[in-house]
Amino acid sequence: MPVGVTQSVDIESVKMGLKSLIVERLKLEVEPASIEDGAPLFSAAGEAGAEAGTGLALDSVEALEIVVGIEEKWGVVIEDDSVANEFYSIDTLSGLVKRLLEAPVAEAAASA
Amino acid sequence: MREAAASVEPAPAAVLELTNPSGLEIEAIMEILPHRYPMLLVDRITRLEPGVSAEGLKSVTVNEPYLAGHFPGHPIMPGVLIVDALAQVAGIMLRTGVRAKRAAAGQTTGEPGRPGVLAAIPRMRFLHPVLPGDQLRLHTRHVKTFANTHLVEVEGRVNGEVVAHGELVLAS
Repeated sequence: MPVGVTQSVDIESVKMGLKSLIVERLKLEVEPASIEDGAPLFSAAGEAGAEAGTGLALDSVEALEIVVGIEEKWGVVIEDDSVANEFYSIDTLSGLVKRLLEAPVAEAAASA
Repeated sequence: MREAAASVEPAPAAVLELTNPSGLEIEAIMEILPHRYPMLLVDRITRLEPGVSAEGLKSVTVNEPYLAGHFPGHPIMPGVLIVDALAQVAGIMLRTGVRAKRAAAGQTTGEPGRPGVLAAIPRMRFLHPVLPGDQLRLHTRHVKTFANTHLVEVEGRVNGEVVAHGELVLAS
């Protein structure tokens, strides 16, 4: 359980930060604000192009780029695989970032 | 653990070599990498921390087949081949990392570690030409792994001077 100092994180600012991070790092030609919070960001493995039009259909190399971007931007550590199912949409990703930011000590202890 | 692996696996030589801190000779490299002439671009691994970092050597001679055309009368090692040499050392670093993890978990069977296909070149700079007679020192350091993609920091040096540096992404 997280003990000690925790900071409250505004989920909306995290979402906006994520959208601009994704657009900037991946050099996407879309407006950050046009990315829907609930839309899937990634294409399912082996189904490239499936359901194009709703999400951005990002691939695993781009996921890695986002991981590195989040770590640099917010100073958190994202452990491999443990959070893979949170790499779905802006909604789930922002929840992950908020959780990491609000419990840095607990997360660090859990991963050590 | 090593004894057990040797008695079960038919070709455990490379696995045994991994515990040798002085590095890997070409025979061990060829057990880890599928690359062959003319695309095997690392001659020796001089330092290896499986999954973490590695250092390899590529000795460049005028007899390299690609130097006949790159360029006639003015041989320079192509930058893309420096990239591939670095990617090959990164591949050895990652594959031995997978094997080391499996060995630590007591697994002596299963598929060999296969990370190593170049998936992206996010950043690469070439600072000096690499010429026949140069010994290219290939440094790789694992930065981040996520969902079967591996970000690796790489650097090539000749006589201590940086000739190329950048980042590569390898995929499993």
